[in-house]
Amino acid sequence: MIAGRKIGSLTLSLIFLGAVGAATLSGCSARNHPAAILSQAEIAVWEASESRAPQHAPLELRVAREKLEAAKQALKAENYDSARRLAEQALVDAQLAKAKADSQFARHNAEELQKTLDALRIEAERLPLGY
Amino acid sequence: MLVNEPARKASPLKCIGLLLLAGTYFAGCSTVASPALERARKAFELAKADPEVSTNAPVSLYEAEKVLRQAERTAEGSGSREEIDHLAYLTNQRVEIARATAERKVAETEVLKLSQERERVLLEARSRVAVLALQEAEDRARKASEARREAEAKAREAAQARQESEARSQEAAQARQEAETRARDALRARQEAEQAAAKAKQLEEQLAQLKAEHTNRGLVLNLGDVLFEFGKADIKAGAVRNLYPLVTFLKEYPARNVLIEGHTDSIGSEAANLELSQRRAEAVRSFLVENGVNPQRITTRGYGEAFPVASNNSDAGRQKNRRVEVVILREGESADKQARTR
Repeated sequence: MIAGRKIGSLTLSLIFLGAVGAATLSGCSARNHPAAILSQAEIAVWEASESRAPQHAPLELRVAREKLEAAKQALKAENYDSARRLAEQALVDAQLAKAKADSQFARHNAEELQKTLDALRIEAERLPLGY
Repeated sequence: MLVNEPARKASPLKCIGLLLLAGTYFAGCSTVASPALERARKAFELAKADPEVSTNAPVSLYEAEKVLRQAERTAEGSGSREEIDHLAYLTNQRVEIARATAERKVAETEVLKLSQERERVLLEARSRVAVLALQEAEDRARKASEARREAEAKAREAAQARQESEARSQEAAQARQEAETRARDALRARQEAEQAAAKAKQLEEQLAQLKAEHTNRGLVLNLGDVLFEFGKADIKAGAVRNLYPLVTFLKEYPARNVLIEGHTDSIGSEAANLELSQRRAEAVRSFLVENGVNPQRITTRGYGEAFPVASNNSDAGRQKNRRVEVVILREGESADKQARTR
């Protein structure tokens, strides 16, 4: 899942989260700590930005990114519930961005192909029947 | 939901305590009202009812349902409004994901269908082009064979023309031969005509030599009175030579007959003159026959003094009357018709 380009920032983020998670383990039960969900969100946002979302669903992708940032901030401020919620939302937002982008892309393809086919049909009609 | 998050410390004991408190307070476990949750539920119901979504994105729909149930449980379990709304939001988003997934699948199916259709159209067009190319090839082959047949027909025509020209040249040769034959015939005819003309001329000359005259009776040779002594019917020896030309003539023209007529002057009796003239004609006849002339060609007539040619009152006249006339008849004519009348 981790491709060549954005390996640097993703890895750093994961390390950060892992560090934060380890540091705050003592403060709260591991079950409530949103580190896991945050990493999932991070990965989801990364996947979305690697997909067609930047091109076909930029707004949705931005929303996901912003929530992820907010989640990180909340985590820093030890607002764990807030961080969890924001992370969960960032996750679905990122997934939605990707799904919308893929859907847009496919629909665009279908439209283009329909146009091509129509043009092709017209050209083919021009050919004499040849019987 | 994004901005105003109160900063709270997540103390587990505190959480449980609060929950217990909330639990005892809301002893009846009544559901928390949340418009967001209502909206989320409605959105889910709609999506589930949509066959396009339920067919193409069942898993995504199930994920949405999971979080919806979680939201509902939280609501029933008197969870915080924040959490309920948050879960409602997640539900909504998951429903949207299901819809987007379904749309994508539908579009991808469409793309596949359209691709196949495109292939089919291309194939048909290609086969039509192939059919056209085939037809063109057939046309070209047909034209080539037609051209070949035309060339053969032309060759045959040329051969025929050659034959015809040969036949015509044969005909021409034949015609030439015929023309030559005709020319030869014409030449022969001309030659014959010339010969005949020459013969006729010859005849004329001979007749001129004979001193024969053209009269209405035919050619008349007047032998005068040199042949006979006075009153006699014997041909004088010296006068015989006057008759040789006639003999020659008659031999040369065997188709001609002669009529020998004897005439006298008026001296003496009619009867005697008649008899004398008769005898004299006979004498000439005998001479001719003796010299080889067919007697059947000769007719004799004595006219006595009946047909004088001059006046009997003078010696000259009488001498003229005393004559023997030889009528040379036309070819094939016989003397029967020649009856002299006044």
